[in-house]
Amino acid sequence: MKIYIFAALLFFSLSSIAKHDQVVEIDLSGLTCSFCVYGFKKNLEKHEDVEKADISLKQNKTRIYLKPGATVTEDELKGIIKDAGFGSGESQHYGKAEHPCDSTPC
Amino acid sequence: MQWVCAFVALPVNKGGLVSRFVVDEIPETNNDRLTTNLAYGLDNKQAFFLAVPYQISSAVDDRVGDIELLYRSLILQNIGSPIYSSRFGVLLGGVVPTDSDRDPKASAGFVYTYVNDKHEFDLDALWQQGIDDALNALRYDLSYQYRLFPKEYPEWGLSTLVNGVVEFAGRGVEGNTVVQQLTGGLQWVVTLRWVLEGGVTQDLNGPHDTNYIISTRIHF
Repeated sequence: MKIYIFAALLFFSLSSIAKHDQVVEIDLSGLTCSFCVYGFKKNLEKHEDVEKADISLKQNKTRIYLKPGATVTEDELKGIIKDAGFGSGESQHYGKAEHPCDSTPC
Repeated sequence: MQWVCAFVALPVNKGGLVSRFVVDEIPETNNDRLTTNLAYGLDNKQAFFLAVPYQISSAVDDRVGDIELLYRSLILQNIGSPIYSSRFGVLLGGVVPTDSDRDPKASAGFVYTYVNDKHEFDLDALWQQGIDDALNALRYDLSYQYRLFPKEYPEWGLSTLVNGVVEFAGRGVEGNTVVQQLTGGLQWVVTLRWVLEGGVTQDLNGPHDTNYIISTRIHF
């Protein structure tokens, strides 16, 4: 019985990690309006390759979780940010091995 | 988009729709009025605004007021800093009468918004040029908001927010004194897409004393 429980837990853990194969963090500028965050987040999450997007007004950055096999480019993501009316800066890419789950549940 | 009364020069995301329902008191008649406002983002700089007033407590049949249409283009933007932004936009539009006895107006003006962390300043002015027998009108607003809660944003995501708002406004129609008003209010950002606002407006001149304004805003 313990083996089955362990196997189930392992399966769910692995599938949870696999959900977000790539994570991209992009520095933002001009996103100074809390109410603007909704439209900005919605525009990002509308993209077929984006699983979800988190916003940090404190750190002025967005963390974008991409779906497995995503082909969206950094320029495309920055284009969505521009379309929402904000600026973008430096970006960082993470694979699942270096997933930055420091303060957000993955 | 507006604060309690003032326009703001903040972007409406491309394809985004924001609705705002405002209940206030019409000073001339003391009747309650519901104004439905819609904002639609054409792209990162351009947006359309529509306002339709409706008299809630009125014995008259003609309850729907004149429809106001505005186009806003953000022509100057400084968004180079993470916590600071300033945007300047022009406003163009008009007032479409809903009664054949009234004539239309053409509108032109500007709006400016400066945001620095907890502080936001907005300034707008709009001139309405009467066509045929319609009277010219002027409105202007100077608004200041301060984020009361939270003192600091969370690391990720956004919790509820409360802003305090103070506005100085002027409203005038040709041939009458421009009524200057002071409004104090609170804005509660309940969720990312839902906002509640309330305020009390005190006329600084003119015959009317104190009015209230409450509104809710939903982002689609």
